[in-house]
Order: sequence, then C-alpha cells, then structure tokens
Amino acid sequence: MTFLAAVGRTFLGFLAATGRLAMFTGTTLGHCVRPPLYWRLLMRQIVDIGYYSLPVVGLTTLFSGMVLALQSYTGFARFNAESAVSTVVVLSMTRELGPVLAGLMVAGRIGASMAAEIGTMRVTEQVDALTTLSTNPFKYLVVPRVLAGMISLPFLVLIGDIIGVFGGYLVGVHKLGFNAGTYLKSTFEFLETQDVVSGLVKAAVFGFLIAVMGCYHGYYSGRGAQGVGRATTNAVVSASILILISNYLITELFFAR
Amino acid sequence: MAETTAATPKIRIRDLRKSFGSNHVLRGLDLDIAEAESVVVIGGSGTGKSVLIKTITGLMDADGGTVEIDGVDVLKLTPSEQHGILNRFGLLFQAGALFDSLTVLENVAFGLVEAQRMPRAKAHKLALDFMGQVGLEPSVGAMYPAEISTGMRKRASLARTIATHPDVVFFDEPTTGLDPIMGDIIDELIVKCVKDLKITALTITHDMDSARRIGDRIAMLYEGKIIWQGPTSEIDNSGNPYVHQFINGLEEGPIELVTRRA
Repeated sequence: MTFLAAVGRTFLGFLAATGRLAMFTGTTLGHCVRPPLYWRLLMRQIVDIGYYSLPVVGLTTLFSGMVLALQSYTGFARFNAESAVSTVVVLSMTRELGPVLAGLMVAGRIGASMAAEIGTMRVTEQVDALTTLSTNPFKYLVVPRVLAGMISLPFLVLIGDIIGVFGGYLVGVHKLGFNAGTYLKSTFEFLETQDVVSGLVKAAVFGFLIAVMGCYHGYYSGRGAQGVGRATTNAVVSASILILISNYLITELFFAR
Repeated sequence: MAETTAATPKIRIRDLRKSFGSNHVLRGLDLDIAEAESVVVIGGSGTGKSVLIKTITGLMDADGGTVEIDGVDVLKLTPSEQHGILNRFGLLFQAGALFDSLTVLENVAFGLVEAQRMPRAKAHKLALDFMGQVGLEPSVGAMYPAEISTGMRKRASLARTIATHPDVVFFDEPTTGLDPIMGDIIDELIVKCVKDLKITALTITHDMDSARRIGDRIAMLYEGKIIWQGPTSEIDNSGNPYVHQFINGLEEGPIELVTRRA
C-alpha cells in the first residue's frame, strides 16, 4: 500500500509539474507576440547567448569535425570508400553534430546561468519587486531570453557548421593527404539546402527549449542556495534531454521516407 | 471608483484568510487604515506579517476575505485591473530587493521608466532628486547594489519605492539587519516621506522602537488575527496580556504558553 501511494504521489507530482510547465510555456508564447518588447534586454541576451558562446561552440565543433574526418577515414578505408569522408563530415555537421553539440554546450552554459540568475532574483524578492513596479516578470525576464535563444542558436550553429567542416578539411587535407580542391568539391557536391535548413530549424527549437527550461526552473526555484542549485542542475538536465528527444522528432519530420 | 470618506477607510480588510497546506497563517484578519494614516502591524516571527502584505499587494493569492482599497475589492480584480492598482502601491522589501544587474540610479528610476513610460534621461534626473531626499550622494548612482552597504541599499530601495508617487506604501521590516543608528535614520526617512507625500502606510515589524517611531496606530497580529489595535501612545497601557508580553519581551506570558502547548 505504501509502495502504491508512493507511485501515485510521484505520478501526480509529474502531472502537476507537466501542467505547470505547459502553462509557463503558453504564457511565455502569449507574451512573445504581445507588446511591449524589451529591445535592450533582448539585445543584451543575444550578445550573452550568441557572442559569448562562440568560443565554446567553435572549439567543440572544430574538434568534432576533425575527429569525424579521422574516424570516418579509418572506417571507410576498410571498403575503399575514403572519398566519402568530406561528404560524411559536412552532412553530419550540418544535420546533426552542429545543432546538437551547440545545443548541449549552450544548455550547459546559458541554461544554467538563466536558472541561477532568475532563481536568485526569486529568492531575493527581485521578481516580486518587478511586479510591484508594474512590470510583468514574464515580459521582462523570460521573453527576452526565449527570443534571444531562438535567434542566437541558428547563427551559432551556422558558424559551428562552418568551423566543423573546416576542422574536417584540416585533417583531410593536411593529415590524410586529400587534394584540397577535390575535398572541397566533394564537400559541397552532395550538400542540399534541406541539410542546412533542418539544422537551423533544430537550432531554433533547441534555443527555445534551453531558454524555457532555464527560465522555468529559475522562476520556480526553491528557497535558499540549495533551491537555486537544484534549479540550475534541473535546467541543464531537462534541456539536454529535451534537445535529444526533439532532435529525433525533427529529423523524422525532415528526412523520414 | 468610490471616493474615500470618513466612513470608508482607504484600506479595509475583512476576514482575510491564507493557508499553506495545514498551516493556517491568516485566519480571518480584519483591519482598517484611514487615508494618510501610518499603521504598524507588530507580531512575532512566523506570525504571517509578510504574508499579510503579499496578500494585499496580490503577490500571493488569498484563500478568502476582502481587501478594499478606496472601496474596490482588489482581490476580485482581473490581472489587468490589478496591474492598474499596483501602479498606486509601493512596497519596500525587507532586504531591499534592488535589481543586481542595474546600477543604483537605474534601480531608483526603474518604476518611472518601465511603469510610467518616462524618457530615460528625465527619469534619471528625477531619480537623482529622490536619491537626495533619502540622503544618497549622486556618485552612489553609478554603483551596483553589491557595492554598497545594507543601509544604503535600504535608502536606495526607499527612493525607488517613493519615486513613482504611490498613494499606499507597504514597508516590510524596514529596520531588519540595520544597526540602531541606521535604523533610526531609516525610520525618520519613512516618517518624513509618509508625512510629506501624504501616503497611507502599512508597516510590519517586530522592532518596537521602530513601530513607535513610525506608527500613528499599532495593531498586533497573533494566530492569524489582529488581537489588539490602538493609537501608538496607548500601547503601553493596552491591557492586553499578549501585547504586554510582546512589547516588553517577557519570557512568561500567554504567547509562551501557547508555544509550549503546540
């Protein structure tokens, strides 16, 4: 009986949390399309999310592109398909690795920071202060972050794609001995618009998920340092899981035959 | 909106109730506050003083009862109507609640820029005036809240609260965490602001020195209800054993007995 009660409590808790998240997301979307929009805050968030994430995303995609070229070469060499290396690198980077790696990196860097910042504001009554100063906390805190996430991530991913492909080029040409012209030609030969577009759509969705989870966990963070710490962890974990799940769904949407 | 008359207090609270699970914090609280009157609610820690303010200002939903401001029940308003009412409220938070990411000047000007849509330059000029009123040098305006003392943060928060010209201000433990000298200064600033700006004020505190300085009238909150209220000058002769024990900080008395039973 105790076991059943515990299962029931957990299930009800899950339902309540899901409902609260759905309402939070709905409210956020509603405020996204209704004025006023805090342009200064939006620009600041775009700089925070986009510009300051460039080094970490750049390094991640650079080395991923390099290792992808190396690994696919050693694998393809077993059945004399080395010439497909550049195509594999560019398709993997644009369709999957670019958006997913950038999403996970930004989730760790920005999702955690959003949850910590808003959680601290909640604990120190700054969110209540916004309300008493006739400022809607959703409009002031959540909307700029969510819009900035959706705008910044596609740009980050586009740059990450280029850097990743360049990483593959470096290894392919300078280590594996491919001809530079041939490598570049086969890089773009089989690349289609849909490959890049699907990656950018994924990036926009990931940006939305990262920001919503960061803001949600911060907004409903528990009291004290422990509450804020837990909110930070939950924001990163939930955003990462949602990125992987939505990645599959979007891939299915674009490429399922 | 109904006009405030002698028969209609500025704030009329009736049967206000708020619970957190099985913890019944407010249990049918009644309180009237006249226009331009300063009322102080005293009570021990955890008696629901902060909950009272948060419920009146809409930061927490009440379970029942009415809170009328100028005859309008603010608990029954829609969110957009509440937004309009909030424009007329000011709230000084216990720890100041200044925005960390903004400078002191931006904090003080915040309500003018965001709520009243005042041009930023004009709002900053006005904010400097309000900073002067609470004794803050203009140079403090460029600093961030983390760079100034607790007393300065309280002053800056007070300046932010009065900058939007609210007609009702709530003060949540205004002297908590301050040394006695700074506490005196903050109390004097509050009295000056309330009198000069003809503000209706509700202060909650457990600091009796502060309560005597700030309040025209004092009310004691105990077990979710107002158990005594009267002019500040009469509190020493209230004849109420709970009030007597609380204001004199006595260990023995009905408050202690109730705690032991619990």
